[in-house]
Amino acid sequence: MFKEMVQGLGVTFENLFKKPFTVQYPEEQLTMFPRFRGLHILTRHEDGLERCVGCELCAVACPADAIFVEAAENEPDAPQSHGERYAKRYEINMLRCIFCGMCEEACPEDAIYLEKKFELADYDRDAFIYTKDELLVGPEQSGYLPAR
Amino acid sequence: MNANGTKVRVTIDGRTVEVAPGTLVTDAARAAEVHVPIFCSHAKLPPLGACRICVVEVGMPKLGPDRKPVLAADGAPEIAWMPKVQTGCTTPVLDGMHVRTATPVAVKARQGVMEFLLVNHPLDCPVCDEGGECQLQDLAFAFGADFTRMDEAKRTFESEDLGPVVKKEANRCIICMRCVRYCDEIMGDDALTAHQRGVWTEISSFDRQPLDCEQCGNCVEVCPVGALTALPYRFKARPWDLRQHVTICPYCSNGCSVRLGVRGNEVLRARGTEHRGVNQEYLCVRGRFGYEFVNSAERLTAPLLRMGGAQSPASFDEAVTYAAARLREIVAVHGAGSVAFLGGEKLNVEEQYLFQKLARAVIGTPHVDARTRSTARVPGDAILRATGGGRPAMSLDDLVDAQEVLVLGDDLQGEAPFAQAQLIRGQHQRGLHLTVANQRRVKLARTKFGGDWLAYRPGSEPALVAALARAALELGDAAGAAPAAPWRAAIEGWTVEKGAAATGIPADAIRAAAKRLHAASRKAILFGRAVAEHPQAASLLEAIEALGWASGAITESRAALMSFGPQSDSQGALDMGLTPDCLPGYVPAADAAARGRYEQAWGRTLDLGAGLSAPEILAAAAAGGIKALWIVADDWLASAPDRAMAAKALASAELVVVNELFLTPTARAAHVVFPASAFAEKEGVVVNCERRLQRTVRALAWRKGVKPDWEILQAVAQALGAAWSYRGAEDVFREIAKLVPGYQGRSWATLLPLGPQWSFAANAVLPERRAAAAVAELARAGEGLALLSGATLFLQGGLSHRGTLLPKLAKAPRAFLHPAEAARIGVGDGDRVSLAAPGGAIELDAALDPSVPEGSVFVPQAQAGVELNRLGAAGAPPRVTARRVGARETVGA
Amino acid sequence: MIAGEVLEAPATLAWSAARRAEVDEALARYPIRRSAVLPVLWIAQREWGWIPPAALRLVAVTLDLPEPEVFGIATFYTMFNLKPVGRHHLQVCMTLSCSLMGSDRLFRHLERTLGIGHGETTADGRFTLRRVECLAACGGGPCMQVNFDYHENLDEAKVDALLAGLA
Repeated sequence: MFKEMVQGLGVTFENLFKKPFTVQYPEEQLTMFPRFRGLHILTRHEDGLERCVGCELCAVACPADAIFVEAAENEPDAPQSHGERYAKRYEINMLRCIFCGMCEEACPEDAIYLEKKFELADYDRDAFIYTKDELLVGPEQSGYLPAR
Repeated sequence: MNANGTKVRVTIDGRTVEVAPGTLVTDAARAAEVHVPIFCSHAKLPPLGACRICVVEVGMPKLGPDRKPVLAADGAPEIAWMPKVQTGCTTPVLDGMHVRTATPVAVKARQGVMEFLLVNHPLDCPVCDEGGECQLQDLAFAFGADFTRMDEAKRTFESEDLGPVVKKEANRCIICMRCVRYCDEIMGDDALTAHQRGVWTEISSFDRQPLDCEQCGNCVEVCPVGALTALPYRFKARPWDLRQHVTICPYCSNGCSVRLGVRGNEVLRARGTEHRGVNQEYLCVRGRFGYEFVNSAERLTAPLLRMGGAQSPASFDEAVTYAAARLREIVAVHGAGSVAFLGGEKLNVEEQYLFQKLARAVIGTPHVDARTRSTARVPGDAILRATGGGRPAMSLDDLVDAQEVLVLGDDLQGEAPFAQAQLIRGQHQRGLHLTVANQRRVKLARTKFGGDWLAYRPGSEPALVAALARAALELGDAAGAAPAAPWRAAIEGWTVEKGAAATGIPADAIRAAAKRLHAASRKAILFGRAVAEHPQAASLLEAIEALGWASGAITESRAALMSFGPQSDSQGALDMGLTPDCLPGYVPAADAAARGRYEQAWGRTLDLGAGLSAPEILAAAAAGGIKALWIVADDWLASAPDRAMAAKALASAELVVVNELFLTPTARAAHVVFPASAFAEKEGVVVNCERRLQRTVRALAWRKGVKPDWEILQAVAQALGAAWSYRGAEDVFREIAKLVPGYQGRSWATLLPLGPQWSFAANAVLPERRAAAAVAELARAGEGLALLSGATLFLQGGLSHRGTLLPKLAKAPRAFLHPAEAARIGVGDGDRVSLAAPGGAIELDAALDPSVPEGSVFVPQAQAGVELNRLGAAGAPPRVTARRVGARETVGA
Repeated sequence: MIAGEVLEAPATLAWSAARRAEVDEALARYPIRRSAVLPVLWIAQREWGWIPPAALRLVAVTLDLPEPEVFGIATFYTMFNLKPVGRHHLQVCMTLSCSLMGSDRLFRHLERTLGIGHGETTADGRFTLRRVECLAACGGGPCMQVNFDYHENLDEAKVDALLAGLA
């Protein structure tokens, strides 16, 4: 019987000195796998203009009907995107989103990507409707495209 | 093989169909339910064969030396296939023809064509407005290869705006020529053309100027790609965002089907329908771009009540209670005859029916009239009698195939744009001949349509019609009717020469026009507001009936006359008895036996006495005889023939109830204003100029605080103690279908997609009428200029002013003068002129226009801020004195 | 002559009496007025050196045709000048025979010498340079048409001499 106790505690002690599988979230952050799909970003061209042209293919591809796009025509002197059209409103309802990545696949302009951010909890349902300001990357990230 | 001698058999991909000889392979394929792609081919345009996408393999049975089909081993005839593929859209079928659409040869040819079509196409689908409903996109997906061997740089054009409506992106164009052909052959505008040649061919306007045309946008509609797109809809939405509802256009009496595209609760565009409606893909500028009023922020959203001083918002129940209480008081003190009901030509027939039922059965007043623009009393059944008394009517489609069409008095461009397009198409494609009787040289009277223009003296329509009828009678009696037929009385005492003297048209021209009409086997006589609102309308309409009989346009079995009412449902207003002397279905109100059916159904006697017509109500109300007015969907201050009188009537009435969409000047003068639903927010039935019953559907959710007119009417009727319990407009229609002659047996379910034209059963035509009075000769013109008015294309009534595009296209209000006349009175182009009549004066800018006859001035109806009825209603037409009051305002610094 | 003065596009134009007579003569040749559109456009080009929009309108009114149709016809044919041309209209044949004989080189030489490209006019209004398709002088390539005169078997030196002789 003593032998069995030592055997059992042996397993315990063995694990005490092993590297643990769990991480101390939120103090410790996980590195996501390359193809993890989290919160969307809207990307920019190298020249800082938005890649999105407001074609709404993401909206029609979305199986959860989470994306709303309203397009408008660029001011020729102060364009938002290449070409004539840009997304005046771009909203994703994260309560509906199922993070399937169909929007990313449908996008003909490489404008939308699902990035690694996954901490989306909030206190207010309205806050889950992500607007274009929240989704669009900053100008310092012009030209950035996530690796796929 | 040729089973009945009139059909040919053709086998397409193994499916055998019988079609009429001369059918094109593409159409036969549609009949066989085989899909053959097309771009340039269009049902209303002759074959062209420009795009080559419809290529198929075609073969005929091989004939042996004995001229008999050679049979293969299995007994089927052997087919001799043509060595190369053929374009299906230009190849007529032959008896026994075989067509293959899916063989490797055909598929490869089609892929090659698609590769060529895409050589210079920018493939900018994500940006293009056509994306998602583009035929090129669909067919490239279905038939195209997934690569191209053409890797050279693409030729590019600059995009350009062709006016305020059309955006052109020539890079996307596949030169199918649909827009050019449609503009030329159906619109009669020739505004577009192909420039340059070869790879540099480009569709544009003359010298790339903004399009000078009707701005109908049909070029955009027929464009199979995104080369022409509509500027007002630019980047507004994607087709998959839109809920599309097919309903009936609210503007004119043609009753075109429009497909409203709705996103959220907002109408974003209106388009034609490809295979539905009287109009198919056609829409005029009003139908296509006039929907903006529905979305307007100025719409009324709460009932308004005036108790004492200013109008203030109230709840619906308060408004109903107040209106009912006041009506009850007024009826108790002054009698039911002191209440009058006006307007309603824009309502659905269900609402029109309830409106007159409220008046007659609940209030008990005979004073009901929808025709607020009338200047004289016109019998309620006069238009029906003039168009053949309920005999089966011609359709708008019949117009294309007519040989001779007489357009009497009206400018169809403004009044019935689709009818005009049908006539132009008939003239272009089928040899239709036009006779246009109009004071002005309107579009249809232009020389390019090859017609005859009868320019009669202003106001002399009755003399012209009487003379035409006389001239037709000289040619022999087409009707073969007894000489004592009552219609003869209307033209008693007239001769061609007398008519020629009165109209200023040579007698020969009148005789020639009558002869053409008399000789044609397929003919039509069209008229509209110029007749119905003529001061002598009653006898004029009788003269038109006489002309119909004399020329053979009316026969015992059919009638080829069409009347275009001023609003989308003017015909319904007549049918539903919104006239003082007719109950629904043209039952004479004074005939105790005939009205029994309504007395029984409505549970009260309808011995209400003689009703007043709209101009009589106007006079009576201004004199204080009418104490309460209920005006529905009509800005009476603008539509009444005398604005000052109408203002006086509104001011002196004890109660004015108005159902409206907007706070119009009339609504401002009301004691109770009910906000009403727009056409896209309610269901019902409207009746167009062909007397065709068409369903309208609800495209938008009801706005908060706004109710359809039938609910408002029912609520007030219930508050007045009536036991009405209609759960919806369909319930009302069921009652109509039970009671109203001509509508019996109809149901909403049978009115989709395209309802029938109602007619009276062959032996149930209108009761014989007493002999009419002959058309009176017009008094000779007085001093000054004749004031001509009429509908114009861009504006029609109050609703068209509520958007942005139509007023912009219509430009500033103007008075049109012949250059010679303008020189005589010292007015230059753009000068400010005053037009004065005994009733009042208006001021507006002058414009020189040689299509206006000398001795007259043309001021279109419905121009913003131009209150023509300030001039009073005297004379036919009214005479005005024109005077220059200011110079042209110079633009800029 | 083709080589007219460089005009500003006028707002309206009218036929002179002499041209009107030519137009009437052209109209008399055809049963349908529309058929006379090419001869009448030629008359307009002779009169004004090029065909400004106002002349196209005038032709449309004269023939009772829609203006855009006349515009389409005039742009279809490259020999109608819809922009003002210089006094000497140099038209270099670029089709096969001339191309094989060096017309491309010749054209580049002209571009360099005159400082203008295809369809452009020198600032002094002397020359307009244009590539054209076959001039039917394949035996004498490379060929250049100057106004209505053909110059065949050209090379750079001959072209320079030719240009020097043109005022």
